[in-house]
Amino acid sequence: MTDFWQLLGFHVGISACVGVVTYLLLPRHYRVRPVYVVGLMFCFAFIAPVVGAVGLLLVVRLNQNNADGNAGFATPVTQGLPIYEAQVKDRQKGTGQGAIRSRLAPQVPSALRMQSLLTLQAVPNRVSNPILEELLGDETDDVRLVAFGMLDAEEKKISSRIREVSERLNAQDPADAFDSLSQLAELYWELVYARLTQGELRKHILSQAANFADRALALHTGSGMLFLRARIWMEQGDFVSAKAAFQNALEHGQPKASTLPYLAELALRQRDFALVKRYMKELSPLQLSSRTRSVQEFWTSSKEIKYSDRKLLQHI
Amino acid sequence: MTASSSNTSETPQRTAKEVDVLLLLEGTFPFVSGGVSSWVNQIIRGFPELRFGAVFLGSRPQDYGVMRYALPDNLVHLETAYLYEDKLNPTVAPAQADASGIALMKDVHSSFETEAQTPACAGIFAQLMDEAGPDGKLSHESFLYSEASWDFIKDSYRRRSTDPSFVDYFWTIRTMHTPFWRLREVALKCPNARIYHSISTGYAGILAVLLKHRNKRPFILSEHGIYVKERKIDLYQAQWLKDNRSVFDKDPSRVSYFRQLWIRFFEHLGYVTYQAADDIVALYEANRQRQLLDGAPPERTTNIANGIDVARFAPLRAQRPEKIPQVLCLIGRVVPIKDIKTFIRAMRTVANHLPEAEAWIAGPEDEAPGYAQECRELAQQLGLQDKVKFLGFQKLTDLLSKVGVVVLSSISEALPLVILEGYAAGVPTLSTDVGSCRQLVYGLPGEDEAIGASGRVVRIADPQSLADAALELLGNTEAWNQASAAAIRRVETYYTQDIMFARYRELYEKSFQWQE
Repeated sequence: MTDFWQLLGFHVGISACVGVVTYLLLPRHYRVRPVYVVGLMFCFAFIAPVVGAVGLLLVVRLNQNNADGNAGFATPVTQGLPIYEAQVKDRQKGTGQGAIRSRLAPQVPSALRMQSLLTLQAVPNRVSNPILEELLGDETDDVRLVAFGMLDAEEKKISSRIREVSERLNAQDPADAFDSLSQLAELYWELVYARLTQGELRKHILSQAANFADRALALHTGSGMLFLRARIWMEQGDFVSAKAAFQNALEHGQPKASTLPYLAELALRQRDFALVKRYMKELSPLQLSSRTRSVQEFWTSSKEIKYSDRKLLQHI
Repeated sequence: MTASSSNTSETPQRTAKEVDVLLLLEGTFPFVSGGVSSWVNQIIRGFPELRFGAVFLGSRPQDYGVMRYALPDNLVHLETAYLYEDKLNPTVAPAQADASGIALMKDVHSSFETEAQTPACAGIFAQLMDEAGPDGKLSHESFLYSEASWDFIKDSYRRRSTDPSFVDYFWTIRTMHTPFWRLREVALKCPNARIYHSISTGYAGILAVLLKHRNKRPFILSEHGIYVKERKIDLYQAQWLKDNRSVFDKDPSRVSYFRQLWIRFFEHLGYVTYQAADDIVALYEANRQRQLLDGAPPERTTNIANGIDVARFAPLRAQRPEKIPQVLCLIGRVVPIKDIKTFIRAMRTVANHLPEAEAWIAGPEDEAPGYAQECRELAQQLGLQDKVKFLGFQKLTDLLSKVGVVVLSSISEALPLVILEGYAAGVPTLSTDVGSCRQLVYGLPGEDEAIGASGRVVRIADPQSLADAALELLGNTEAWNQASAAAIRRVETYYTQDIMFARYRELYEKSFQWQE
């Protein structure tokens, strides 16, 4: 028994030494928490002398060039993030939003033209689309194609809405279809209003808008849809039907401030100037946009038009 | 698209240690069908005495399907490489960067930073890439994971970025640089070649720059479209590019920083490629002028127009019925750049006036299935479901005798082969005013112009003008016959493949000669 305890004590002592030595021989990044590591090595040496601790040491040493293994033990280093300083970055000179057309002229350097073209993204579609439409015939490929891309994206947005609403309409009970029908009328109208269609195709799109508006009106006579139908007729050149529909819209509660200018325009196209003046007088007490206000003042005022106001009246 | 192209599912292994001409192709033959790929196929088959190799560069494997072309016998080496395949990035691990490597990188970036173009940039760039190997001063690991590289990116951001997001800046710079290490690996694996022939600038062009630098062999650049221009147009419209400026910083007249950064990047790639190329070929004069504008040395540039095998299509002239077929046929892939929607919209007007007329769309729909679906829906919306027919891929020799006019409504083209193929079959063209289409329809000033108009040219995205021109041609037998006769004469005089092969033979022989 004594021999056994002596041998065991000797084995414990040797295992402890092997544990300490193998700990010291381990690569640096494994030498963390010494008590645990020495304890582990001691256990290996105690349970499987030679093969245990020395084998483990060999395995570690042989694998120490393995990048994957190393990565897990790499000490993460905290790196500071740079601070953004807006005032020192402004190398490009902003050119403002004015005079887009002049900056799109063919003689302007190509880079500036491209920048000006992108400026159009911040302009309402009804204004930007005719400019983009003109640029489709530009000699410079880049300008032509970017203009096309912008128009196409706009058209695609409306077309995909048309597809969605059409699918919904097909799945609906016809009696509940008013919302879908009026949305489709508005979307087809939007293609025309935003000047995304021309020629005979425009006529076709207008007839689609008219068709959906009529179907919507057959389900419910609302002032908004009557007003839209009137504008479609006006665009189609049917002034008599347009006038009747505008008046009908007024009777159904469409605000005078939005309807009377169109009635005035119809009267102007029919060259009934007295009627134009009458509608303009009716507009006088109402809340109007500055653009409409200057037109209204032109027709109702007996005074000379100020030069500054002339700029708002380019059609005169 | 030619009759020789077809869906080929097998991917034959072709490897060789030596080739005569190594073609460097980005996103084209043999995995993508289209005009450029057909041209590559034609060139390889046109020189059976030469041994060709090809390197196909793509973005990620999942972006491409099966091979679209049967490989010619004299294509003895084919290699594919994907530049944005994530699994190829080195494993994350601590890395040290050599200070002189970072300094070299700084020098190259500084030379690109200035607007002034530096003709020596191709050499400087290639030297930098010499150091990009695992044992060099600028390994991929050190670029991705070293502290010095992080400091370099941080410093560049401070000095240059006008966008506040450092995170976007950091990833943009990484994404931008990653392909260079891939290209270097590809360059090391390429077989020896007597000539490097790239079909575009961009990444394929840069690969040619590296190969020329390593092996001192001539480099020919043939451009169909102008790569830099096409990338710029894509980038101006790209929705994935972020603009993190606040409402107070944002000026709509200023291009966002990252958009501008990517544009400059491709401009530089183009410039470096032009500087390294020994011969620069454009398809027509307007493109050559554009190359000069982008930095191509004028004395190295030349124009070589596309040409076709006229004899293959000539018998179709006799097969046409006596009455002009009331068929407008658009031959091409159903993809947005072909603007097929404008063709369909034009058909609404044509159908109003010529009720018997039909619109055929002959081309594969698998490249942009979403767009193809939109086109079908548009036809339905316009009440044209019986008038517009989507035929899928068609053999042109079976198709052209039934066609009254070949329509091309594209928003961008170079020198479209389908126009020439239609001409060879005696079919006039109705095209948008893009690329060399005006030259193909009305001729170049002089004898070509005197031949007369072989069709009509209209503005892009203008369905009304397209319809009016179609009605004019299809509704007037005399005008149609004149256009058909001019088409045949023009293609036989100026656009045969024999003329094109002869010009390329001269170029190849010149490059082979100094090596003998």
